[in-house]
Amino acid sequence: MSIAKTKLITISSSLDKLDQTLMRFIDLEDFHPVFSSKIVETVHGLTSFSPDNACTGIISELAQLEREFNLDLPNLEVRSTDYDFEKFHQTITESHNLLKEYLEKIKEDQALIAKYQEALTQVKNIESLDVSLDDIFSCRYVYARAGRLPIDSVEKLKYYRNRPFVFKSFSNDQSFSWCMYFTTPEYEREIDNIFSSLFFERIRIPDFVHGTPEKAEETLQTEINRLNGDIETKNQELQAMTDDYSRRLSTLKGQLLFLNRIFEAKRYVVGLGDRFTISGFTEVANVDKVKNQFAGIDDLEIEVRPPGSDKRIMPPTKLKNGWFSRPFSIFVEMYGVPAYGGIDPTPFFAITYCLLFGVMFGDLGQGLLLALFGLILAKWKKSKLGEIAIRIGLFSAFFGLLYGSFFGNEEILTPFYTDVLHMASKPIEIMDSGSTMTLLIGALSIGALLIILAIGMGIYTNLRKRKYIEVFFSHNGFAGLIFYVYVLVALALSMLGLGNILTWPFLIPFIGVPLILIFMKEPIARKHEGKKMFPSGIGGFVMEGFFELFDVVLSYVTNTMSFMRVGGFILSHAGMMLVVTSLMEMVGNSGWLVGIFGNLFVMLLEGLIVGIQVLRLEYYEMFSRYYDGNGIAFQTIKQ
Amino acid sequence: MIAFAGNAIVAKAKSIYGKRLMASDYEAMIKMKTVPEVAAFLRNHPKYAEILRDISVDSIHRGQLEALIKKNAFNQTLRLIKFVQIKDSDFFRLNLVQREIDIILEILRSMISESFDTAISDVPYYMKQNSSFDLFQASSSKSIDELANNLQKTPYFTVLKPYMAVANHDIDYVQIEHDLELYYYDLVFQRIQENYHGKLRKELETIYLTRIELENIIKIYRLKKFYHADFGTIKNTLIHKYSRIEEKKLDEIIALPNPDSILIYLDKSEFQRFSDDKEYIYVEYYVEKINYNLAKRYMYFSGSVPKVYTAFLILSEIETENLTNIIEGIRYQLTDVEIKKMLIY
Repeated sequence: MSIAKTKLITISSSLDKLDQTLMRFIDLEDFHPVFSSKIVETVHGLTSFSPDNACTGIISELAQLEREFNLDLPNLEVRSTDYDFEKFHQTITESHNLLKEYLEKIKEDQALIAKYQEALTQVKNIESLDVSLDDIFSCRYVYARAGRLPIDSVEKLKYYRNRPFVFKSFSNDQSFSWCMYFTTPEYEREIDNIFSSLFFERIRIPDFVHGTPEKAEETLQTEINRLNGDIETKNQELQAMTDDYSRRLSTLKGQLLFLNRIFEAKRYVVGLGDRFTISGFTEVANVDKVKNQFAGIDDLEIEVRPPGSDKRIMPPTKLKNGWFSRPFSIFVEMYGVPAYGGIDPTPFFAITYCLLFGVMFGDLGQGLLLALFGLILAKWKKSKLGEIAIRIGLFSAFFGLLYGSFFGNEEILTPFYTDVLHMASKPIEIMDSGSTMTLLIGALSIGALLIILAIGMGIYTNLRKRKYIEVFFSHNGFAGLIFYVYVLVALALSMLGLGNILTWPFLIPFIGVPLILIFMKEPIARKHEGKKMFPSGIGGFVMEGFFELFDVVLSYVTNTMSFMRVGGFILSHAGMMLVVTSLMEMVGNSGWLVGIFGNLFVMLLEGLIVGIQVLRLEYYEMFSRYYDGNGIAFQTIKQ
Repeated sequence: MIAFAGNAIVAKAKSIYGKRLMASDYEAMIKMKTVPEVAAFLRNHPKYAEILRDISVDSIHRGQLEALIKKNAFNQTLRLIKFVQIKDSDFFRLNLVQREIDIILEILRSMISESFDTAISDVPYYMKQNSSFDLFQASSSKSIDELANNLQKTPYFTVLKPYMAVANHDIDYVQIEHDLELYYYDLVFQRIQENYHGKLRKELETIYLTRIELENIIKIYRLKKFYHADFGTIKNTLIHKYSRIEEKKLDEIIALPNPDSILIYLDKSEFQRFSDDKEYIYVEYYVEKINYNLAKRYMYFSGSVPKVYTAFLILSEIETENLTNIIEGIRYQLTDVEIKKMLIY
């Protein structure tokens, strides 16, 4: 339950060993490499090895080919450093062109089919015509056009009723009239213009079609079938071609993937003359593993140093947590990774998160169901959120047991306490209006306790960092702690009627002194750093300090009150479930259905809200007191 | 029952609005190179899928596509009007007046260009049940006098009367268009005043005032950019009577030498944003486009029938105009940047 101890490793060798070294380097499992730019910029004479990655362009060309022709090339690396990018590019372009050419042929056939299909629809729509199409289209003095006219335009033909044409509509669908018009060669152009202005779409009947529309239909259908057959054959041939290309290109892809990783790895290489170095961090326990990885390469040196020995490089943080708190690291990392050498707040976070969630969302049935969902999610999707759901679900179930709440039914567990455990009633009676105040005060007490713990952790962290001013003078240090604890104790004693400690002998050391210390923190810190105590004059300082102090005192109140939501959610959960139970009773027989959906609805809605609210309490009320999160995460080359 | 009918209009309008073209749709369309591409895109869009279902995308004529888009908008408005109660139905029927004016202008354009077939092909025959004049007669008019006579029993006659007795190529189209638009807006404000009071009246008036402002701006841009019109011509086409931008400023905008600088001017002027007292932004002028939020606001938040209906109507008109601008822009090979400047969304 801490931050893993690491070592700074520097691998160096002569340049002729670079490829050999990188081939092993890319397989390192637990190694956080340092970008060469971090080192090169600080020392004159060093060079970086990050030229343009020639693989990227070719890989995207190949990816396009894969997408276009549905090639399923495996992502298996082929380890070979014998490469010629020009040749790679040529092979891919040639394959692409050949496949495209073949596809074009299929597309031409498809276009032809679309045309014949149109003609087929046309002849189907003029089926009632009992005249051979040859006779119509071979007339010398009458020209005929077949096609479709928008329904709206048919009516407009009456504008042209004195023009020399004959219009015949054969059938109508929703938008078009399937028709023919006839005119003489003399008026052909004019009549064509009129029809075109009315959006007539001419459909050409292919030359090979003869006979009556019925006969034409057959001919067209046969031709379409023939073309479809052709396309199928061509598709099979194309498939065979793509299979063949897939085989040839998969080796090439494998090689490219491997080379790409080598190129990417060069971003970590620093050059100096004819030698190179690669720096990075690994866990202490893995140092030998790293050494073994490079065993057998002549002239390769591996230097192992403490992590902070190179001031230019900030050591990364690798969180090491136990099974319980491990999944909660995603929430901690979302806020920020702790600095190397700092403290890892994950265990504290995990426990408080589960406790608060359980208190706010206490329901035995829903809690167990949530844990089950979490289990399924964790096993099936390997989700960390699923693992969190298991833990918070179990806490929710535990508190649900204390509240005697099972899927919103507040009475079902009462016999367990009264008959089995022989208690007078349930341990906590939420629905009783008399317990509302107790719940809210309880919530505030939990909040106060958590704030005290957070201040305590802040003091511990600052002691480790040797920030003594913060330890003693800050509102998150001893000064703040004494003030806060005193106020809480005084309030508690007066509420319980055990005495009044709000008297001068107490007020001076427990309120006056801490507040003066907090007030004077900034000038004392400046004095400690050897600077002027009041750079902008005492008047300005007093003015500014007063408001800051006011803000500090106010923040203690608001932060504590913030925990009131813990009590609020206990009540709102019970309230929402009361609505569900009432609805169940109202609908009668289908009550069970309302019960299921109501429970699911409350679980999703409230579960989500409570989850977010607890996260808010963790981040704002606690993290802000003891946690910076300004470290960098440990990332291996494979991440 | 009345409240029920009102709710039906609001629900129907909002459901049709839900299928509108989004900014991303416009962005996609302005990048297209051909009209068939736009037709294919719209055919796959839920709002236009039904009306464009049977078209052949590759051979569709620009005019046919535009006619179908207009028909779609008209059908959708008709569906809403069905539910209107008698009391203020004349307000709801304003849309028909606008469509009739469009038809008259279309007929006049075809007269000027002597292409009478265009008038016939563009006349929306589906409107014949709803129109206040005989569409067949009007669209077969061969001169402005004939047209005016065919419209004698309508208020349009009075508007056309001063411009009669001229040869087709001498028809003062720009002035007639202006007068018809002014007639329309006079009618709009008159009907709003007759039917509504207080805050609702003010809000309805604001919707139209904003619409007029946007129309004026786009008109200046189009006339300068594509017709290279002079100061006087542009000034005469604008609706001054209901302009929110004062005369002097409007003159300054018209006088800008470069049409592209209009939006730059507005972007930097006090008109950049037009918002209400609650700081809700109605119109924003940017250098590359215009954002229009007023009608959208009512579509989202209002439950008042006249407001939702008016907002629906205006958004529907704007969408149709946007599509016309895109289709014509592509047809005349304008760049996507140029087309975008004429779009409002």
